[in-house]
Amino acid sequence: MRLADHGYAAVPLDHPYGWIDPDGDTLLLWRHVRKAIEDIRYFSKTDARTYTELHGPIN
Amino acid sequence: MDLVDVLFIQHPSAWGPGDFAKYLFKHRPDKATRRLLRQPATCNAFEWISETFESDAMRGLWAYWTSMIGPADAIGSGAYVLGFAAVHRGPGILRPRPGRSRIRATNVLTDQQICQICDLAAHSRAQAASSRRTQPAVSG
Repeated sequence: MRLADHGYAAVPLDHPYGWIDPDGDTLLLWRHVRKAIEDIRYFSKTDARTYTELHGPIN
Repeated sequence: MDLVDVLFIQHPSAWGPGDFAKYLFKHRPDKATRRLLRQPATCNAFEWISETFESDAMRGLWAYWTSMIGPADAIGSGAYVLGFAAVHRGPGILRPRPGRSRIRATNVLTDQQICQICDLAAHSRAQAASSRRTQPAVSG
């Protein structure tokens, strides 16, 4: 379809998904795993450990 | 075989727990990994999220993520959560610059082509739903 000829260019997102609560706290799912886990640890150390365990076998 | 069949191996909603188990056995032979991944295959996505994460932040983020893929309360939809791996591998998640409207503005797709794509997607979803309905109930 020659999308690039029509102006298409793809850009990678540093944090494609996120969550925000009513008080303004945010969780960003960073592309870089370590940064993502740091963000998760702010909300729950257990969840950060769980995410680390999940990430290993899946990737 | 329609365009969806050509482009995608199989939509996750068409996977039953048995299909996922076979895939795991073939591609992930170690017991530890299979044990870890068995749970997403045997429950729905919302159940898996609730049992896996304790914080509202992670539960909210993952509920949003899985709901984008398909019906997150369907049996076997726990497999949707595996899609998160795409965030951290390869090129990651990509978006067109300077936004999705850029593609529409160039008239790359005609209205007729877009209608054809929508029809194919609706047909595929209907087939997946029909397949789920005809599967025998899992006895507990």
